[in-house]
Amino acid sequence: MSIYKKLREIPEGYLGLLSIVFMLIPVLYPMGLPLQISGPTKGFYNTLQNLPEGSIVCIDASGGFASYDEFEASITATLKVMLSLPIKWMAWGYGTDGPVMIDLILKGINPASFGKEYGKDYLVLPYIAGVEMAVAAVAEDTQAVATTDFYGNDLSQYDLWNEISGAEDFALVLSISGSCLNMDQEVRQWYTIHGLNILEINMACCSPMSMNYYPDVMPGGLWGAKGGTELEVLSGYPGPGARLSDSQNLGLMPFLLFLILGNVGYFGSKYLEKEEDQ
Amino acid sequence: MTFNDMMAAWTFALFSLAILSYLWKLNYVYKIAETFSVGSLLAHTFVNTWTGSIEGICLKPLMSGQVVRIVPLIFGLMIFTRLSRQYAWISRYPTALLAGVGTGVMFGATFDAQILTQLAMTAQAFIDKDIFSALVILVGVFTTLTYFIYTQEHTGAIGISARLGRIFAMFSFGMNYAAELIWYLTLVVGILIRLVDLWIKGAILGL
Repeated sequence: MSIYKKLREIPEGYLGLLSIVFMLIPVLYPMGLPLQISGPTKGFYNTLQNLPEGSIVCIDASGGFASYDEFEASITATLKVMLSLPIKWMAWGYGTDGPVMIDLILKGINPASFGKEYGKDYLVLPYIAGVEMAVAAVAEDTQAVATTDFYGNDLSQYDLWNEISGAEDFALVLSISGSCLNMDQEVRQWYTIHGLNILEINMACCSPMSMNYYPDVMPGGLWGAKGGTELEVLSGYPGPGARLSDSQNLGLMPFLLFLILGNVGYFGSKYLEKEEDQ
Repeated sequence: MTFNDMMAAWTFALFSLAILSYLWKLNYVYKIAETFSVGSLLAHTFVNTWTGSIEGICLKPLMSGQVVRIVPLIFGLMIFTRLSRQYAWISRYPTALLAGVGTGVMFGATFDAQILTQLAMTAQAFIDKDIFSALVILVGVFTTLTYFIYTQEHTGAIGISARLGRIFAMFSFGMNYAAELIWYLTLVVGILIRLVDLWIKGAILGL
């Protein structure tokens, strides 16, 4: 058997095993690999920084725990940045996990340490069924969509809730997307009808589809653990992203190696077949 | 580490390993973990839907005198008539309403958002002097579209354009595949980090 044929027949299980070994190295020994901050992350950060004092950001949280590792670093860093600014925000859940995820991450952040008060500076609202219809309803008539917050408390007691009646009261939308088609619905309901710009936090696999809207409709976005890590570095709030990104980057190395070996094997075999034919 | 944390770490580890055992072959341990996952997901969805949507939007306002909130509740209950052969036709009304409103809400802005906005952004790129990117997008759009012309033989100019379009499509699929791979890797890394931190270091070694 030629070397080229052997290269083509390496069992794919070896690739998985090698990749796990490579991924484990930064998990056990954090490395701090260098990182380049991308344009969408800079746009994301600058958009939040440039919001006028007192602006209210509407967070549409539809992402779920199935991809929590993709979201954790991005949401943690984003909430820290937002809590450190003189702006307010309210998070809606268009997926059942959305508010649960925001609540879990908030518990680890402690908003009081940023001088922020629940109900006055931020709100966590419950899951609202209906997907795009729910988004449209919040944009049209916010007060009609919920009566209690995520914790079951009456919303009318909160100052922030009473400031909002519809899309015109929001300065920006932050979409924590649970699918690659989420951005389309956000654009339809918030940008096209109400003219609001949208920032996005989404899984890495959705970045090619969301990039269609960058930078005019969507001035910035964070995709996957890498996006979150970039915001951690840019904002100066370290979080869980660095180790995750290092591990991910190292885990990709065997894939690159096998990609090269596979191609050498494929083209080498073809070359040999041609030689034999002649 | 508290008792609850310890239980959470062990539950996480055992279920993660059980699910990962599928890589070896389909087995009962995997099936049990899968059934537990689906069951708990259903319970979680039900509780959140009940508290957020049914209780929060319908029941509480209804109790406080907003009688109109009974309408969505009635429509919701009508869906359950599907369980009876005799009255299943009633469920068509809420289904039709859902489909109708959903389609109306979506299509109202689709043309503007998905076509006009993106055309405007492509044109804007020329105005913003980002000529190279704008040209690449323009050529990519037209040549890829020609690849999907099936009513003309791909020869001559159309053939060249279709071949170029195929390359653009390959780039696009390749990028999507790469992004998908990154997503899967993150999920694996997340499991590895928790197994090491919570289970091995926390629950077993007590560090």
